[in-house]
Parts: sequence; structure tokens; C-alpha cells
Amino acid sequence: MVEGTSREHFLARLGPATSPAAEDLSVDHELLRLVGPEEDLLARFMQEAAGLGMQPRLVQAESLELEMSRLLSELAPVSACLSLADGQLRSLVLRAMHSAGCEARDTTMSRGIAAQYDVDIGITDVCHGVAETGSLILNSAAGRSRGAHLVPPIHLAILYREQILPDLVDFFTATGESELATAQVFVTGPSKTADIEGVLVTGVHGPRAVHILVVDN
Amino acid sequence: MSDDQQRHLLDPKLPYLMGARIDKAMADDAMRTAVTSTTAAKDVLRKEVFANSFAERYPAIKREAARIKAHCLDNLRHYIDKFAGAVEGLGGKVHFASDSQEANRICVAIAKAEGARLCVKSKSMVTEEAFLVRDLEDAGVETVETDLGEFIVQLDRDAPSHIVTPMIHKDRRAAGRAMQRELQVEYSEDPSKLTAIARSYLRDKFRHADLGISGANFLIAESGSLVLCTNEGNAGLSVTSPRVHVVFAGIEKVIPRLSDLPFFLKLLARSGTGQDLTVYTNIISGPRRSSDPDGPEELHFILLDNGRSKVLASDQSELLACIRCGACLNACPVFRAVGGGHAYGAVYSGPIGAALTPLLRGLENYPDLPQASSLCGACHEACPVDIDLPKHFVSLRRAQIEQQIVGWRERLAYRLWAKSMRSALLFRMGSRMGRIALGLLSSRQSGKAGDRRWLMRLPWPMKAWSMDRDLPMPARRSFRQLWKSECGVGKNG
Ligand code: SF4
Repeated sequence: MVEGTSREHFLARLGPATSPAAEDLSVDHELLRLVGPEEDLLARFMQEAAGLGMQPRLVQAESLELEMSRLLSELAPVSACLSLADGQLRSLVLRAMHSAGCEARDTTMSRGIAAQYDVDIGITDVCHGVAETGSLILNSAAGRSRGAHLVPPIHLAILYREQILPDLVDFFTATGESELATAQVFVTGPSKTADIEGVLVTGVHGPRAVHILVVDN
Repeated sequence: MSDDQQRHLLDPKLPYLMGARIDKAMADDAMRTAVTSTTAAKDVLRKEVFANSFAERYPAIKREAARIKAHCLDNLRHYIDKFAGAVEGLGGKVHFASDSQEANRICVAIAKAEGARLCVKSKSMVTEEAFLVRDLEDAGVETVETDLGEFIVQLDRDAPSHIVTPMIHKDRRAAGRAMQRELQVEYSEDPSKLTAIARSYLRDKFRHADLGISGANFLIAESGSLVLCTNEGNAGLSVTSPRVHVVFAGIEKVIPRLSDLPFFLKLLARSGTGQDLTVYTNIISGPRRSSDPDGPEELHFILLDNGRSKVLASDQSELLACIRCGACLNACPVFRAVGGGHAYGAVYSGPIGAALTPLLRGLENYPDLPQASSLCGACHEACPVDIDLPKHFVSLRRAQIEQQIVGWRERLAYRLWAKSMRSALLFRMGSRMGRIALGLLSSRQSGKAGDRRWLMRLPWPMKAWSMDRDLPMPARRSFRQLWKSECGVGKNG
């Protein structure tokens, strides 16, 4: 392997070493806040997500399975890959898929990402929603897949109402976050481009449709 | 594909003079119209989204973001060291490259060691700066640009003309022709159809690639994380499917903490495309862990200096705060007039390119770039990290005069002008004689504003200077003469 410039040499060009005390930098996050905790977070999230071209649907916890199998029947996927950390939720989703006649391909551990290219829908849980931007925040930690939300042409996400944060800032200033996942992604709409003459086209490389079941407990 | 044309366009023979490409752009109305309408629309949208979101808070946010960036640059050595340590702690590898050749050699070596044959690449200005694709292809690694605009530009063996929207100079017909010719598909002008064709072609590449290359929007020193902001999803696919992920990044991309990131996320998308946030914001911290079901097993960072440490040491280090949002390009009247990025003869174009390129690649190599601004201030107003670009053009112009890069005649003319400004008599004489002389040289131009005489070409010694400049004739009577006759002011007036 070709060795590049040594670290010492490289760093020396950037000036003299400074002490870690140089890290003193306080910033005012509140300047950035566009949505406060007092707002109706659910309403704001639904509105923002829909405005971005995602399809959020509010469901009661007890009817989640029914609503999901209804949605799957509408979308009629033949196969799905799952990225769900919680065992109970996973069984619920599998039952809904079964009643909608959709086959689950377990792409999460055994077969890796290549198999995700052949399925019709990726079904994932999420860590947070963001009311300000309508974003979903997904983590790859705890057995969750990096590709499930991105590779299949349709993404179906399950978000619980209490996971909705007011503002993007709240995600970054939350203390006590556990270890950083290998991959985190904020999904803010379906995949899109305006590269050809500024004409908006959805579904470039990532999914063309993002459905969100927002569960109200 | 060894890309001679691309070499020529963004890596021209030096010293590079803008004249020929400006003439070409002037003759290409379609291109100038495309560039003007797209950039003008983006510029309006940017102003709207800031007014509708941060409103009067915006200046304070800009200053805060600029302060964070200035802090990083002041302590860059510390933060680069910290970043490298954090990446290694996560199981990634960091390589240091003094220049772009070294960076490319490292990348090619990684590709060879992994036996990589197919590489998928997401959009990255720094890989353009290094002409990485050329070197990978020469080493036998098929390398595919996966951003739609970059993909079409690559099919056409063309070069990107804007740092955010690379095919701003091309229309749907050009895209259709490129796909028809290179992918043997039916010709179409429908953007959705063209996008669908690219999607299916590139999905196959994503699926089978063994190497993924990305740039970096931000690097987080405390956690060793990489942040990527995209709309299409190609970056996510490029760095999830292949077994090896190589990140190319300039050293100025590092910011201290994850908690500093929202400043830049909230500014970047609004400034670049008028969105609140790009569709995908990926934060990647290390290679795949044993508990992860998918993702690359190897993660390499190649950190590139390539002239940046020189800029850092200069009094123009502020330019390294740039987050490459493209807002200054969209706001710039010169960028529109010259038909987009190609006229700048370098990877970074528009106001930021005109200021940065001479510093990275030598002022003597790009003598025209500091002049490629009307100093109107639109770029400074547009910049979300408050970079005072006009100030940098003035500094560069001063340096040119000091280093005598500007021709001796132009210097002489400026000196005479400066002298005459100090003496009322000389000024009066000079302007009267000048007016008579210029009258003889001017010609009546139709199509230019008003029915006024224009100076198109001046004789030696001003010939070269006037080649790229058309000037309106001075008014027939001077301000002084008018003042005297219309307002009846006395001799001392
Ligand atoms: S100089 Fe400022 S406006 Fe221009 S690209 Fe960089 S950050 Fe954006």
C-alpha cells in the first residue's frame, strides 16, 4: 500500500500545536430553533412530512396491524425486507404482511444488502421524527439495516408519536445519547433530483414513495 | 475513459486566461439563458426561504456559523489530529495527502489492494479537484459518477459547471442525446424518463460495485464521523453497498462537535437549493461493526492539503470556511454573464472559485480570476458563513499589482489616473482630451443599451486590455461642463 504523507509532517503544516484548552467554544443553539416544545408536534410533523411528498398516516396503536395490512394490500408488494429492532413490532409486521400476502425476505443478517435490490418494499422502525422538517431519523444500531430504507423502491416507516422531536436542534443537543450508531440518516422526503433543467423528479436512486404510519398510543 | 476534454476544461494549460471561453459563452445564447434562469430562480428561492424561516435572526446565525468555522481554522491542526484519532478508534483508517497526485495514488493503491474493478462515486468537488476518476480509470477501475447531473456530464465527457448543480449548462436535449449515444436507449427529452433510464443503469452498478467513493460535507472531530448531504440517495447507496468506502475530503471540512452540525445543516440546504434540509443527511461513524447487518467493512479517509495549508497561513484563510453551498455562484452577475463555471478554467467557479483558485493554484496562473467580479457584493450577501468575498478580490488585485502580474501598461494607466485625480487641472485636461480621443475610436452599436456610442477595441497599447471589455462612451459633455452651464455655478465650482 502506498503510504501518504506522515501525520506529523502533515499536521506541522497546519501551524503549531494548540492545547486542548483551545476547544473552548460555546454556541447559541437557541438561535436556530424554529419549533418549540409547546407547539402541536404531531400536527406539525404530519404537515411537514406531507409537504415534502411523503405519505404520513395517523393510526391508533391497537389498529396498527390492521392499518398496516390494509396499506400493504394497497401497495401490493410481493416481497419486503425488514429493519426492525423490536421483536414484538417485528411479529406484528410479519402478521400484517402475511394477511396482505407479502413475503418477508430476511435481508437483515443473513443475506446482506444485495438481496435488498430484489424486494419491493423496505419496512423500518425509526429513532425519531422531527416536527420542524418532517424528517425521519434512522439508526443502523442494534441489528438495524443501513439499506432497508434506501434500496427498495418503497419505504414504509413506523414512527411513534412520542418519538417526535420539536426541532432538529433537539436531536443534537439531547444529552445522554447512547453510543453513536455506525450509520444515522435523516430522511426528509422521497429521493429527488432537479438536475435536468430544474424539473423536479422523485425516485432517482432511493425510494420514490415514503409511507409513514404514525402511531398514537 | 481517459478524459482529455475534462482535463482541458477544468485543468487547462497555465497561465489560464478567460477570454476565449467568455467569447464562446457570448456566442451561446442558449447556454447563457439556461445558466441565468436557473441561478436567478435559485437566488430568489434562497432569499424567500431565509425570510420565511429565520427572518431577522439570519445575520446572527451567519455570524455564529462563521465563528465556529473561524475557530476550527484557528485550531485546525488540533481538530484534524483529533478527527484522525477518533476515526482510528472506530476502526477506520486515515491517510494524509499533501497534494492531489498523492491522494490519487493512495486511492488507487487501496482499490488495487482490494482487487476492486467497479467503483461507484457520489458527487464530490475535491475528487474533481484531484481528477481522481481519470487516475482510477487509468488504473483499470471502472468508475461511475452516480449523481444524475454528474452522470450525464460523465457520459458526455464534459466537465461540471457548477459546484452544486453540475449540468447547469446543459438542457434536456443534451441529456437525451448523451443517453441515447452512450447507453443505446431510445432518445427522450422527458426528464422523468431520462431519470428512470439512469436509475436502472446505475442500480446495476451499485449492486455490483466493490468500491464506493464519496466526498464529505462535514467531518466531525470529536466522533470521527462523516456527514453527507444529498437529495438523490446516490451517496447512501455508494457508501452502503460496496465492501470498501473511501472518503476524499479537504482538511477544511472538519468541525469540532456533532452539536455544531445543525448550524451548517440548516444553512447549507437553504443556501444551496432552497430546501429546509437535503432529502438525505447521512452521518457515518466508522466501518461496519459486528452487530451491523450491512455496510462497508473498510472505511478509509484521504485528507487532502493540496495548497490549503498555504491559504490557512495567509491572511485569506477565511476562504477555507466555505461550505460549498453554491449560493454565491447563483447570486453572481459575472457567473451568469460568462455562461457558468467552465469560463473559470478550474474546478471551483463563481465568486468562491475566483477567489480560491488563484490561492490554491497560483495567482500568476489565474491572472484574470480576481477581475471576474464587479465587486457588487451580491456574493457576500448570499454567503451563509459570511465570507467577505469582495474583500478577497481586492486583496488579490493588490497582490497582482505588487507582484507586477498586471501588465506594465495597465499599471501605468492606473498610476496616471491616480495622479490626475489629485490635480484638478490635470483631471480636467485629461478628461477633455480623453473624450476627444475616445470619440474617434468608438463605434455606434445597435443592441447595446440606448443609442450610445461604444468602445469596442482600443489601439495599442490598450488593445489587449480592451479585447475583453466593451465600454460605453463617456457622455458628450462632462459633469463639470454640465454643472457650469445648467446650474450657473462660478469658476471655482
Ligand atoms: S463562499 Fe459562501 S456562498 Fe459561496 S459556496 Fe462558499 S459558503 Fe456558499
